[in-house]
Amino acid sequence: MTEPVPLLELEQVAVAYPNGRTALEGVDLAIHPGERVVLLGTNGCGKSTLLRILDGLIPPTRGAFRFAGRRVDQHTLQDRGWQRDFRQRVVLMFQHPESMLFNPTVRDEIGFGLRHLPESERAARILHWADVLRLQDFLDAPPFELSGGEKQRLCLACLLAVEPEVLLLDEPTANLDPRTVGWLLEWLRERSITSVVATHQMALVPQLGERIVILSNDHGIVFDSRSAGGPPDHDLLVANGLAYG
Amino acid sequence: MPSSHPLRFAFYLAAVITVTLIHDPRMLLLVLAGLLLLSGTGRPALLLRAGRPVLWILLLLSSGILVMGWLTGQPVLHALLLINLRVLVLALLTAWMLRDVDLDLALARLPRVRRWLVIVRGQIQLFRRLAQDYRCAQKSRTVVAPTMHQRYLGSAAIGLAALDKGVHNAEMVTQAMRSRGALHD
Amino acid sequence: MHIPDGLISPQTYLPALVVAVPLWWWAARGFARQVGDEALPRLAVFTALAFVLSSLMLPLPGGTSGHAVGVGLLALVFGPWVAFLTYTLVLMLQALVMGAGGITALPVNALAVGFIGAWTAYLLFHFLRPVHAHFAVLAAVFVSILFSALLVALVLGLQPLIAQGPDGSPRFFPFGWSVTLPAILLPHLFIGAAEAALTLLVWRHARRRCWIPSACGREA
Repeated sequence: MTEPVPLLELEQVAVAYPNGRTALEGVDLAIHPGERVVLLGTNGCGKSTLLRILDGLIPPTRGAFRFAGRRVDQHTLQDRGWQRDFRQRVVLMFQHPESMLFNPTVRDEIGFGLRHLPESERAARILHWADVLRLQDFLDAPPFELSGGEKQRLCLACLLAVEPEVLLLDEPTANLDPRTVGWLLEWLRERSITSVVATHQMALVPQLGERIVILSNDHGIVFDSRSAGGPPDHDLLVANGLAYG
Repeated sequence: MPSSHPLRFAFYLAAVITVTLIHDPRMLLLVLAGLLLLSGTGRPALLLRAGRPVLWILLLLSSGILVMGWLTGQPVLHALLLINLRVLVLALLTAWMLRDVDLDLALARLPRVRRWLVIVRGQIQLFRRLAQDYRCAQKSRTVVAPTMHQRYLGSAAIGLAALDKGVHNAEMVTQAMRSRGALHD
Repeated sequence: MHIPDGLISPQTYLPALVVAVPLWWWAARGFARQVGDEALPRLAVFTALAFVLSSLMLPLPGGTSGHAVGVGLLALVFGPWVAFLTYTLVLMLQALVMGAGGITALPVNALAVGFIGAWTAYLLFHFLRPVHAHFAVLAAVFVSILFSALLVALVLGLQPLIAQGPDGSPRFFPFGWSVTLPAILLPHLFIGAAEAALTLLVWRHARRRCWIPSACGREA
């Protein structure tokens, strides 16, 4: 029986920036539907870059990125029909929520990704997610007036309202209060959504996902619990700056 | 006053140009009175808001005009009233516009401009906070009053941090908008 | 050099607007061509940056400080068209969002400071760069600020000549060149020097970081 086609696949992906700095090197990663992946690594190892490749924002300098079996390259990214479909299915929450907010009000912000829906359904979804993420009092406020935590909850609301297949999260708990963190962890557990979460918070790793992938300072994957058959040991974590010992 | 905000904004722009075409102080006084009458409640606050930004320049100009009149012996009352009233009427129009025109509603038919404005305002907040953090940090480390060179270095540090953040944020916001499908609308 | 509304005559600002509009269109078109569909977010962030740079404090003798303009720095780092466009947008923000007014003076300010100032800085820098890069930055920014100040002084001083009542009394800005030129140019000698020094400090660091090709230390 052949293995199912991965939903997200990176094959020998390398990314180098115009100034010559290496962001990723020789990354092989296959993520199947429903998998919950936790991406670990120290600052600057390439976690954010990897997430952006998975979101079709940065083309690899070398290697290939495939989504649902189709290679994603510059031509694919210029195909508006494909882009629209991809953007509905894969969403990324950026590390700094300010980057993501550009609509006049919170209501418009949540509704932005729902413009293809009938007005009644759109309005209902906006209210639902505003309620779930405790933003109902801010619906008519401009996003830039919200606090850091409120902005991050708003970003979550915007992305989840779209009902994506893949959720990519870059340090999602950085600005969230414990209540919202708890809600997010529970929500991720209950859904069969595919997720890739980049984080520093080791304590939350078991709740964020079953599969652990560690990026090393050399910008390649140094550990994958899927192939290793178990979690990383302490020495490996220490060697990669993820634990003290 | 039109109820539609785009119309109000258009009225403001038209009024500003019209006022610069009026050269009779009596007419300007009527316009001033009319604006105050139509502005509804909060007239004193509106007048204060209008007058504050232009107060010093009007004082300076008026003093200059009076001195010029005294030196040349020419009558200056007409010019004095005309310039002061015109500047005040225009300042009042601007203050009224700020108070009663919702720019977001005024730009309702220009979604890309609205988005641009939202991003600008959000980013200004970030940059301002950055500059404030730098200034506070510099202040907290200052035991002896800084030299001129140190003050320059302090300002340069803010400028560089802002440039750095500007280049970085431009990339981030672009990618975030692309990620949410906003760039291929 | 913020000029409130009511001091510049329609005989000045309307022709200035006629000159500025095609230049704005050209700048916007060029920017959109350069960055494609990324124009909106990039322009928004650069406008915010220009806004904050224009509020940078310039230390002046006596413990006082003034405000930078920032156009010179923007021109050297991002190019004169971007500097012109973002400075214009900053003027619009100040007039219409922050409530500082000056909407009638906007085309004059945009042309004098945003366009002439930016291009003066840019061209002079590239002309003097083979001599000495640091000197080129200092001279470019200093001259661009003085040149912009000169233009503003000339425009203001022109008002009593072109906009006067039947009795010869001024209808807008009331003083001629004998007042505006020294009143505006003299302080800008200091402001220009201060901003040139500040720009050099920032430019040197930007060059070392090499995150913008035009400021990269690889070049001479």
